[in-house]
Amino acid sequence: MKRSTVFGHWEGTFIIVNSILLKYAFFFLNTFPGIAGSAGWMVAVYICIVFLVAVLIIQKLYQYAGQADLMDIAHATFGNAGKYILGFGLILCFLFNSGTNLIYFAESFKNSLLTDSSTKMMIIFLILVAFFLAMKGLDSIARVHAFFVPISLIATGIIAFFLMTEGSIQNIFPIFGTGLPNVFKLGHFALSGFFEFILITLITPYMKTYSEFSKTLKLTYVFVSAATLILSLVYIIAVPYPANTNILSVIMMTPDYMTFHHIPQELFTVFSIFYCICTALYISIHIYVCTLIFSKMFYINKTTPLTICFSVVLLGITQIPVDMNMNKDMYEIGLSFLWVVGLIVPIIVLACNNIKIKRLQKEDKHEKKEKR
Amino acid sequence: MRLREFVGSKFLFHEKPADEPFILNESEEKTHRKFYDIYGKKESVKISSSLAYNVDYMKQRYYYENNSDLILRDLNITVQGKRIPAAAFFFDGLVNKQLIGQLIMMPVLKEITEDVKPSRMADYLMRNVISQNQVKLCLHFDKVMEELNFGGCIIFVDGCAEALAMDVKGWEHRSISDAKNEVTIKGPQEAFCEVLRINTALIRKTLKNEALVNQGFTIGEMSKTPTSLLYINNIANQELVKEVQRRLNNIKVSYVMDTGELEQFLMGDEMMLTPQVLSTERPDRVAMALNEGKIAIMLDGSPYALILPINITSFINLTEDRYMKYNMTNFLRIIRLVSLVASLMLPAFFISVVGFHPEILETELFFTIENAKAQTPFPLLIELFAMEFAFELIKEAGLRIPGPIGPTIGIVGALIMGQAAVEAKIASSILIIVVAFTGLGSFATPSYDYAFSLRVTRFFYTVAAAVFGFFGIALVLFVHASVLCSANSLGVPFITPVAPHTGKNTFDSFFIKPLWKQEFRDDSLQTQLKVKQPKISKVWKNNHKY
Repeated sequence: MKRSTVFGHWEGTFIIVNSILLKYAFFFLNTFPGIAGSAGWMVAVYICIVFLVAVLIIQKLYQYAGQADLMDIAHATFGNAGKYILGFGLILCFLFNSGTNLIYFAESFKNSLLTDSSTKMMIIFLILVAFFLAMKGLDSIARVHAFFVPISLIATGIIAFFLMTEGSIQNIFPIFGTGLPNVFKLGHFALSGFFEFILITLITPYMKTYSEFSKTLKLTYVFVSAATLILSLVYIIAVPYPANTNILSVIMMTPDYMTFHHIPQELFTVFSIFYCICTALYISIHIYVCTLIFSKMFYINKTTPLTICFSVVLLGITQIPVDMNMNKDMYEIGLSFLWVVGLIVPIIVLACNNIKIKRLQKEDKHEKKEKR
Repeated sequence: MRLREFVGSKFLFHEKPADEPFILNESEEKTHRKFYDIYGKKESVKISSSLAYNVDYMKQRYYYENNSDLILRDLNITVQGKRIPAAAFFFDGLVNKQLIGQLIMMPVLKEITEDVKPSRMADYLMRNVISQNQVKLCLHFDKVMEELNFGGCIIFVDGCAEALAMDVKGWEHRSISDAKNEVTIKGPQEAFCEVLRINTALIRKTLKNEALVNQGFTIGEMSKTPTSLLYINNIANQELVKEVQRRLNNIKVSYVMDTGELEQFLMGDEMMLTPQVLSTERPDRVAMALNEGKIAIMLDGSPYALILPINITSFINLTEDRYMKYNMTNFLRIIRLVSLVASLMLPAFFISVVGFHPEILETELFFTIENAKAQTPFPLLIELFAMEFAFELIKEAGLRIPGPIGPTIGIVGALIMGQAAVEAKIASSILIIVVAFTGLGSFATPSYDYAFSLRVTRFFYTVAAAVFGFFGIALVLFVHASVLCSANSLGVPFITPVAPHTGKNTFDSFFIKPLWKQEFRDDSLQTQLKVKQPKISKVWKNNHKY
């Protein structure tokens, strides 16, 4: 029986949620206290409000776009030039973002799981398994997400609960941290954490209907904003400022902070299996999306060999930083512009598309009136 | 005998006389003939009106001189005093001789008083003389041979270009026994046997529904094995049925002996370890599956039926789950899930924890394991493989060994794997416990095929854990999940109901609702009738009238 790639709102939600929230388990929570100190939770509130506005705008604008993805919309609105610029820009951003994040992930796994192993070896194996899944297509990627991401979300919730019990409410004082203006001046750096939200505009054709797309948007927002608010607050309560600006892996350090019974405390190490899997899922969706964008740009039907190319390119990008300091610099450069690509660019493209559609509709009406 | 010869015969070396050696000579045929050259469509030879030609043809095709069980019975049909020669063919051992004698021979040998032309004799006999209930007229020899090979009796009449084929099957067979490999405490205990018609009858008596279709196929150019495709016409998705029909019609093979072989010809993904078809010997399981909208295939000569399409939960679900309350069933399913995970990953976890992440263990447990490990000379991975291999040997030996010696294997296995290995310091006692639990987990998995695939997959996890610890387990689990998630069973995704997420909590999910709440069929099967039962099944609760 022939079956085209189609999945529902749960699979779509878990793809986006995993891509955005995986970073929170490792290093991204450092960003909030890094911006505003003990008022880092206010940064989370601010970015969630901005994110909500962006989601609502995108949901509204997509009503006129049908089931097309962002590349097709850019092509229809701006022609080939727009398609190529957007395509290359997105590919570069995805590879850059996933490359810098992958180094952090691999470093975390090295510190907690395989202390004697090389980070590069872990990166190679992660890319290898991710490439294996990316070759199988978006159907398989979505299903594997639906299988494992809920488990890792539950694991994160349990860890957050235990982290909170070990923290002290005194850690959120002073209430405005390093200053309230920092929340608004520098908050956009944290907004870059939602860069992967643009994935939803690229997997739209694979959603069954517009209502599925709409449900995916809403569920994604609920999961992401709830996790952002809760985890940022828990992190600031659990770890005092300025220690909480430098921790590489929040999840892996949880057993060090807990004074619970030995067995549940150490069993959290077992959760690292699911975080490894979610990391591989993160890389696989990035490789697949780069392949998808490239194939749309040049009308390529068979995309399997392209996954090899992008896997190799990603591996190359992970070899660029000489050490973690250089990677941190690259990561901070990414934070400064990724929020524009992730949230503003889709709004601009969709808005231009809507303007063009309305203009065409007006011209059609005008022509019909003249004919009468 | 002379003394010299006597001494020579006792003390000197004598070469044994050489037996005539058998050498299998190379065939003169240099090129390999292709399948269709051998079994390609041949022109059907028409039955002649000459009895001598027909008998000669049959003798030639059946190598009559060498075939001791092919019986040729010459007879005369008397029509108004005039004798018309005829001949009957049947296989001794395949037919019920009493039926042949009473219902065929006796009526045929009586005189016919009507004036019947020889050219119409076969039709006349069928309509007016022979009282056997299944009689066919055949115009071609291939139809005649098909009937004869499957327990039929054939009659040729001189002057008639048609033959009579009568179904008089009556060979010895195993009677219906209880299921040996799918044992349940509650529910029916019947199992299939090797006779197709008995098996299909067991399904028909369970599902007394006129919509139950039993479509016949023949598979195997040499074996011509009768095959039945069963489905409920107003429930099963017709596209699914057509696809299975297409596959069954397009299997070109010399012979098929068992549903295990047929399964390999039906499914597309040969490299996948996990089976994509469920094999069962229980009629109630097949009936349940048909009622859910699935399709069953049965083969003559095989006591197993194939159910498809399936998903991953089919391997942990049993028919017994419906015969017990849902809370007990869900508890048992949890145990089966845990046993499945244990059989797959317990050795890998053990190696990871001991080798890479000992901080997980309690201090006392850690020292116990380290002490046990320190006394053995081999690395943990080698010990584990050795014990697993020994366990696999015992399992295989237990299957092959003759009945009376069977219990000895249990004693030998316990002695080798338990006491002796530990005392000889080849393996640590904790490792024996791990291997034993893994084996128990494997036996607790309901499906034999799936348990076998887990046995093989387990080695990948163990090696990955030995090299990379939890990271290795994660990598292999990711690849394993990728393979399962990309697999389909006849177009239905393999890890339904997880993804795609199906809203209805049916029998084929990880956990089930109470029976009275299972209103809908599994929506992944796209059945014609989605509703299985009304919202209120226990109507008696609202209706107090008698």
